[in-house]
Amino acid sequence: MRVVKALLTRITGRDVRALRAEVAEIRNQVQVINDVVQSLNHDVRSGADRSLPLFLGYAERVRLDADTAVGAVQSIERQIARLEALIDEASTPAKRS
Amino acid sequence: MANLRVLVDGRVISHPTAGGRGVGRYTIGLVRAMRASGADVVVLVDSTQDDHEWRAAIDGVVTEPLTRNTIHAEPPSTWFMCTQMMLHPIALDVVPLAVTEAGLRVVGVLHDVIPYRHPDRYLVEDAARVQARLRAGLVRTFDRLLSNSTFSADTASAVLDFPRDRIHVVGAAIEPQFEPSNDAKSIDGRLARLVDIGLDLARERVVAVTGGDDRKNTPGLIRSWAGLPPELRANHQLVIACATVPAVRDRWHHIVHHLGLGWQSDVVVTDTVTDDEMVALYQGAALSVFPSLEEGFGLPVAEAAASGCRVICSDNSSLPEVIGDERATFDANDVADMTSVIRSGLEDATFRELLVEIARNASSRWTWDRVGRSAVEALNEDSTFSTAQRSHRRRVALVGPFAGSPSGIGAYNERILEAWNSTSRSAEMEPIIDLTATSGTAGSRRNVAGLGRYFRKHDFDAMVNTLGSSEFHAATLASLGERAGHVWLHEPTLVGCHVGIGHLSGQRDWAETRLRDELRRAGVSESAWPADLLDADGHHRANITFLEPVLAAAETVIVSSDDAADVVKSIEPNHPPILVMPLAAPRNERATMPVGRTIVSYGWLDESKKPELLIGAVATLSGWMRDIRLVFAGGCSPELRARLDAVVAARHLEEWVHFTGWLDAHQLTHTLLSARVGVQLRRNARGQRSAAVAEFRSRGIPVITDIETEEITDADVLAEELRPLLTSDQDWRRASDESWRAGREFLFDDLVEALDSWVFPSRPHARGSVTHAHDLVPRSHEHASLS
Repeated sequence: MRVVKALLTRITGRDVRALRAEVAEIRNQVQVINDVVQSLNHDVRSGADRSLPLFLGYAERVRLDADTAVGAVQSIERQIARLEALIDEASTPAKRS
Repeated sequence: MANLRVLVDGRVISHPTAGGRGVGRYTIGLVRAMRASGADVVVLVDSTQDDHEWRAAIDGVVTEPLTRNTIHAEPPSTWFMCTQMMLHPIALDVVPLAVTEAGLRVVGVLHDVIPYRHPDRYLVEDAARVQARLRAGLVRTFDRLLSNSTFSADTASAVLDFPRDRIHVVGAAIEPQFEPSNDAKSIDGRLARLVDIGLDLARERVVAVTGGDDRKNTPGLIRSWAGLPPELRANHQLVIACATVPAVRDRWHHIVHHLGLGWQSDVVVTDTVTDDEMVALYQGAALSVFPSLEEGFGLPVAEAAASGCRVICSDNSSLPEVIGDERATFDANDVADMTSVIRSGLEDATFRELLVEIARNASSRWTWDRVGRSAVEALNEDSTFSTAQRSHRRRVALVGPFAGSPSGIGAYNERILEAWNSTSRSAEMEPIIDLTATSGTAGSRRNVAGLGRYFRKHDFDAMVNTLGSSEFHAATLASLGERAGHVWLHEPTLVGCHVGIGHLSGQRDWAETRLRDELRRAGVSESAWPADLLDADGHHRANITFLEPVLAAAETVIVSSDDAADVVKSIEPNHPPILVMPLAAPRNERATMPVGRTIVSYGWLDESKKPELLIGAVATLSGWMRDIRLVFAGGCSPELRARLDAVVAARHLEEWVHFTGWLDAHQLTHTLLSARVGVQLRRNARGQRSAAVAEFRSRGIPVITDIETEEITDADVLAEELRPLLTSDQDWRRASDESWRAGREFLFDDLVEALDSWVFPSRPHARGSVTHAHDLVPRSHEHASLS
């Protein structure tokens, strides 16, 4: 992050705000993943304590939450890519056509 | 300015709910319109079926396979058009990873954000709300959105927190089949099917395209219909065209009955209608009513207008935009107002004249020409894109069993992975694990069962699928699909895999049904099928391999020997390019002569390894010498183990013959180093090679095998071959030297170099060609000469 810090000292105003907004967005998504995983962990454990037919329902929930985690990762990947692009732009403005 | 180039995600055409309906059709129209407006449009397809559908829909359309290579080959000015942004069920691969890696600009096609605006109705489940939040976050990373209406654009900007100035309203369009007709006879003829369910051609009709969803406001329409004067209703039928579930029909039936109307007489609910029936319903209608409470774009309003039908609609959301004149609207929440406007639309001659003019104007406004021009202008308007070089580190997936699998290919794949990633190669190799019939977990690696759902083939530049003839490859085989990539056949047959899956299931009926399906897929005539479909030897005797569908899907085939290549050639003369890759040996320390006379056979034990023949040879040897141990190092099925235990007991060899079960790497090394002789036998060998043989040779342990030579079928013959190696130190040293030399001929370093050259060739491989790994890695010859 030292490199990012160094870059941030060179940019001001709107660009800094944009970077902060992007980072906040990433943090939000990570929080979603965290919530999902914790909830999943709880549900699977409590489901396993009960009967097998119930557990089948939890297995479906696991699948759904795995889907959600995949969606979150895709979103994070794109946001990080945007962050990189912003940093690229801030460091070398001439690279934008 | 360079020509606008757009990659369109064509997978929407086969989306389970959107494919054949509005979103799929809109995407086809949009592609056609952008092409007509001069854009260079490429549709990315993921299957032959999608490719056929696109080519059938648009004459001359350019399609490309959705691969990482296709996307990374694009210049940074190219747009990727996301067409699966808001679909339900939610699509998982909305923006392929390669698009993000390549830094392409992304434009999303927006139809509506109704679920976000009414979460209590559409996002009831917690999971749905979370996924919707995530999807909104993803959309915020897009560069542009194309919207069908100003209403959709405004609401999307608000609920998705997306800048309004980056949402472009391009509208929607009416398909050409929606046109006026005065041919009453033809119209009635096209509606004949609906007469059977209650349509009365003698009465005037009022048509409404609605739905079971409360948002469509069908009960409100029925109530407003009941408010019309009875004499007016007597001359008219209300025809509600929509597909419904029984519960909704029951509810509407109750409302109709409660209001004193006749079900399927005063009010007719059609269920699903064809396109032609829909057009005919409009063409012959006195009026069309669209009572919805909210629409992203009320396409039926425009379609009815284009069919020459007078239209009235709600005064909310996008509908006033679509009809283009507030005088043709009503308050959908006010039944009396709806009744009043319907009545005027049927009785007031002046108003009816006005509705004709309004419909004519509306139908001329919603054209594909306008949509195409608007979309091209919107994308051309944004000339900002990053020209920074994006790194494109290639990725190759190695699919199959890995360490922990009973299949010997598992350990072999592990060595390939280690060798590949220990040197600087042109791509990163990622393992994708087949866990079939194992109790292991994928850990931090990817499980092949998730291929196509949680990760995709187009996340990789190349897929190398390793297959053997045992059930431990079932998931890999199932994942091949129609674009299988590189298929590595460690044995030129899949009999053991298919039969093994059957035995594994424990369900004979299911297993036989599955095998019949697979035999048909392979094009094997029924007369050639073995009497017992679960008898592997029967398939072998009939020369059945099950390889036909795999060869049809394979980009290239990798085999272990020329004999195996001949099998492939005999099945498919115009075969995929073949690479003959000998089994590689690890770079091991040379073993010293062990104390004792231990014979080791290693790997998953099944009938094809001829364990009874080997036990028979030990029985013969026991007549000549006393201190022999035969060790079967590896797992086997409980049934086979029980039978072999009985054979051993019958010959009183309990102290001589040992079964270790599955061994970890450390235990295996210890067992191999105890071997004075390795033995690897194979029944019906058809060109496969043995990783176990390579392992023995890599340590200079003498090996007796019939895999590469004439088959050994007599226990006494085998005993005669074993005897000098067990009794003469001089013979052992000579055989050890020979084994050591053979073990240095082709190492894993050579294998990964050959594999790299094969998977990422400088020139495409030709179908029908056969290449030898030694030609790709000339230096591998040096190892042999150095020895």
